[in-house]
Amino acid sequence: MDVNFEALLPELLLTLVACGVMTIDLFLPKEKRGLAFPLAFIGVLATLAAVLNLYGQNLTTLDGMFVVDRFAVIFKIIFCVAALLVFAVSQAYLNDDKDVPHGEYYTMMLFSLLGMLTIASSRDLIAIFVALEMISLPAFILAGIRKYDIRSNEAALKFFLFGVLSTALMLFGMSLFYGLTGATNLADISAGLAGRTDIDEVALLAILFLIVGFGFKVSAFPFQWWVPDTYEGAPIPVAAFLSVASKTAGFVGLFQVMFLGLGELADMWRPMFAVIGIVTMTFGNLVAIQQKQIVRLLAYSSIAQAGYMLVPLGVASATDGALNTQIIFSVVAYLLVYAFMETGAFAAATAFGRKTGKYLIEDYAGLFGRSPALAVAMAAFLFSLAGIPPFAGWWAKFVIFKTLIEGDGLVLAVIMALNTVIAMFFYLAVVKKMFVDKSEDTAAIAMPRSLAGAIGIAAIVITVGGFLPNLFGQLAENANFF
Amino acid sequence: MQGLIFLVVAATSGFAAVRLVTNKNLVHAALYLVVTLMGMAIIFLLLTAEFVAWVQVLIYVGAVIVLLLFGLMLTRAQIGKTALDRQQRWVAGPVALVLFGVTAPVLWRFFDGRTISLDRQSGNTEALGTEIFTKFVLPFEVVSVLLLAALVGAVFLAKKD
Amino acid sequence: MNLVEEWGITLAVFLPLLGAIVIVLTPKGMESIQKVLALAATGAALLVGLALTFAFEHGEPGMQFEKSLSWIPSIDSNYHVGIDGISLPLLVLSVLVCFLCIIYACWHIPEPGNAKAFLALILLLETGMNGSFIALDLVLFFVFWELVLVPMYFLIGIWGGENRQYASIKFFLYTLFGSVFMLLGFLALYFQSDPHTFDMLLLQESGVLDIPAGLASLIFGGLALGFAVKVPMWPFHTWLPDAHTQAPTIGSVLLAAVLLKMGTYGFMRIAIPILPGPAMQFAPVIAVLAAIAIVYGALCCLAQTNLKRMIAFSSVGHMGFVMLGISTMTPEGFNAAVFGMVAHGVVTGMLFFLAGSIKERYHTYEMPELAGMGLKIPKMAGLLAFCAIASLGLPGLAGFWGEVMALLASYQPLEGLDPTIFRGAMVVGAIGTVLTAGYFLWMLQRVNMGKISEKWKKVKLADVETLEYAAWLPLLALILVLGLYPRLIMDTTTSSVTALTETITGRSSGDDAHVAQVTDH
Repeated sequence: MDVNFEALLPELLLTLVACGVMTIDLFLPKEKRGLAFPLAFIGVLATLAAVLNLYGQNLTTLDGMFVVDRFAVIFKIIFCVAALLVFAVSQAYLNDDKDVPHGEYYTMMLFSLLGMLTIASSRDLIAIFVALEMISLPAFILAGIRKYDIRSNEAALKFFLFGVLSTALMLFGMSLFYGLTGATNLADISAGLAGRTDIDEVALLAILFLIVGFGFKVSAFPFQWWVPDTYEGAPIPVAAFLSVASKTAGFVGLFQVMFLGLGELADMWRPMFAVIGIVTMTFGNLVAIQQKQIVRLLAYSSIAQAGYMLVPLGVASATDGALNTQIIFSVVAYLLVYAFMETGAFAAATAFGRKTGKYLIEDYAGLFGRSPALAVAMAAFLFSLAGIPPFAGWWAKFVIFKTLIEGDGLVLAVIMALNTVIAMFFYLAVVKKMFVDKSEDTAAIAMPRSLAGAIGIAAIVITVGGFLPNLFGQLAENANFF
Repeated sequence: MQGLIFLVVAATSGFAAVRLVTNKNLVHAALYLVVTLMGMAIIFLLLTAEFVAWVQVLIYVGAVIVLLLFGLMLTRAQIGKTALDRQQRWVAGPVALVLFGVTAPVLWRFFDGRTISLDRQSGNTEALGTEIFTKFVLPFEVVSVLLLAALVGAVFLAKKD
Repeated sequence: MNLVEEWGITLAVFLPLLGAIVIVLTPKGMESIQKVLALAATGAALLVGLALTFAFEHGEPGMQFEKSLSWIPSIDSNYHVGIDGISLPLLVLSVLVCFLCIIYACWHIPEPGNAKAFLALILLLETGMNGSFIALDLVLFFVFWELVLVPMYFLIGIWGGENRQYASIKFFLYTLFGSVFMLLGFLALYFQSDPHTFDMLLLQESGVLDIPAGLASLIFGGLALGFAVKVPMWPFHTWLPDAHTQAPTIGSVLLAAVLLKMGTYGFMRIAIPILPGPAMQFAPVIAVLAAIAIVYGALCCLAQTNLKRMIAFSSVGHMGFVMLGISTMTPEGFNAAVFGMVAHGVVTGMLFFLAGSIKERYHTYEMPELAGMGLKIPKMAGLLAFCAIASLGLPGLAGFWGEVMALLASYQPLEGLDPTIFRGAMVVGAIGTVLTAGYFLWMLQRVNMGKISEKWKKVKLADVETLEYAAWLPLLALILVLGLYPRLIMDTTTSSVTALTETITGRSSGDDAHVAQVTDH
């Protein structure tokens, strides 16, 4: 069997980088441990270059298990960019937190990233499952990496237990599809399911089990309970990584399985996603209103955001390829914008909490007077998450609305519209604290260049993208299977 | 005959699995785990997948459980009743029962009477090896990296600075 | 001149944005440079606006200076802009008022200071407002429409009065609530049109004829909700008194003079021409709500002791007249509406300026404490009297024409509308004018006349200052000129509003023609 190593180049490169960082770190003297950051950063940059090199190509290798098409490449770009941003945020965070070892931290992130790159190309249930595990396992360790902090332990343990349980159920679901069709390759499954009429009950059950696994990954209701505690207990950059990269990976797997493998059964899973999406966003928004801590607020907000990205699947069709293309387009567009605004918000929270050690929303009072640039950037991220022009979030919401209405999901669109208004309450509450309220503390917030750079880049991207959304649109348009 | 053996094995490992999670003594729980995993190995054997069966015995029963027991006994982990009980079994129990009650009949109805022929050689070692190193080489390689990551993570979490 | 025709309206929108970016990039303490930059940006926009007015072919009904560029091809949305007789007066009003606001800001930046942020936000706001009046693409319109939210929120929230937190959040959420439904309406229009388009003009022409009546009403309802909150129509007005009262002077001026017009403009540019059928159905409802708003606004004004809050409630009444004019669907009614919008912008904007300046001197808006202003600062009191009289609709001043024409138009609404309801609304509206005159005169009596309170007897207060005059004189002149020579606006608007009415009648009868065509095939 021939292996197309060109198609595998980014993954191979990243494996080398991860192992390299791990090994080199072993031989570094203690005071030079910071070297892991530049190594990892450059390594991911090189991987990104290798990914970009594959843009526009259509390669299939390993018996159709590993595919490099535009869909895969665009997601790999998202993963690499998100990882770079998170690395830049981590650097500042790790320099302050002496308990976290640099080498292990970056190694784990690189391994997790490797799983993400792999899942974007995997077109086989076993490969998808293994890739998901590859993403999760390092993430469990990352969540608990501040091992002397009991909250970090709690974060890791909760995350681990939920993760193991949900992936076990997902594996059971996958095995049922193998039992139904005798195949693990998505295309073969799709062919095996075509025209079958005797499988309703079992398929429904199997889909439910699959949704448990992906629902955990994207933090959909009712599999989201771990999210706030884990985000709060883990180092903030790890929370950013989980809420952006890991969630995106969940959506990648979901798209591949649902559209490529189970497209025939769309009538069966469509209503499930409609319900889950609506409940997830409503739950996330309503609970977020009551939060007093910024990371928990962002956690619930990220749950709500997952809801926005799930509802479009609630209008999918078994026969209408154009509509499905539009669904994938809208969610990919949302994920593109989301990667920047969500990472940006977490980065701003890191910048504020890192020196002051404060994570309560109350503490943000008067930030505009203390550090105007940071306050403006944070406000931009929050407005973008809320979907208010001129920040790119408006466009992300817009394409979702457009998809819902195109798919005759007017009710879904109306509920989502009400949700965006509810969400505005808590985003505005933070903005109000920063700009309207006064604080006694007037010291400016200092931050290192890498962190400021990450925040600045994210802010610029979502502002420019708000005026010229086609920058995202062109990328997202390419990401489809049909 | 096969069906009978299956029933006995399944019932035994099912019972052991229940005891595994309800038992408050960790060592006993580990021993119940041995029973469950052995049951799995026998089921693999019944499906003529000898290689997988022996791997199951060697790795899980032989290595994992032994390591687990060593770990329990050598460290000063509390072996008896623990205080970490969140009293959530009254929620978890019914949920599990409902899940079972829904899943089992559905699977029974669908797969009842469907057979697969066991002479396909799919369980034999040679075929399995070929499959793993050709068709499934990607998951295989990913798993190897995954194990490396797990190893590093485990060492990190376990070591004292 | 070619530059103006090609890019004029685009410049009018984006020059302020450019100014805002430059101001943000200047270092902090350079207040005077920032003020000059803001003056330059808004002044340039004003000059472009004036140049557009001269280049404009007055009396032509269609769109002029149209420009269409590809913007977001992935969702079929273009940067399509243009102006006609309805949008030109509003655009000019917006650039003028923004320029004057910046002059006023040069005189005084409200607490807690920070000229840089204050000026940049006003400029950003101007971009949103100007953009709403020129956009001919629904998505583009939506972006500009929402663009005003953030700067206005900050203007109220940071520089507002004591209750600013509540007021700013209320403003934001109300408007957002309306606009998400407006957005859903836009999307529904897109998918109902054939071929799918967000272009307002195409939607108007080829339009959405085949739309089922129930769905059309639903879409119109969504759009109307978004616009009505912004206008604000009774009963969606409750955000307005709070926002107005708490906003800093410049915020109130911009809110009253320009922001509210975006709602009424939305009715005339989008809701009515694209969905004339449902518009005819909803017209009596709008007329009734407008009549209620007129009387309700006047009664609320009578109950106020706070000068600024009273002016805010008077806006509810004035916008009621505008909506009454629109609801008649006749050229006279539309003319009255556009004229009323401009007149209200000029007069009420001026009143808010005065209220702000009075507050600077007296540190209160409470009318009893202001008693005897005529003796203390006579020039200010004179200007207040002038504007109050203009606002109550004295013939010869700007406020008169919009109101009287709206009332006249509602005597004879467009054919197909039930005249009884409109005549009823006319009577109620006429009672409203009397009440309006009543509360304004009572206000003058309480503020300008009376005895100076003990507190202020010994204190010396400055009368109107030079920079204030600079900011106000154009508006004062306009009040007079528009009152004496209303054709200044009517000549520009008449052809466009006539075309608008023709769209409505043409489309109602066009429906039959269309049906006939279909049966022919």
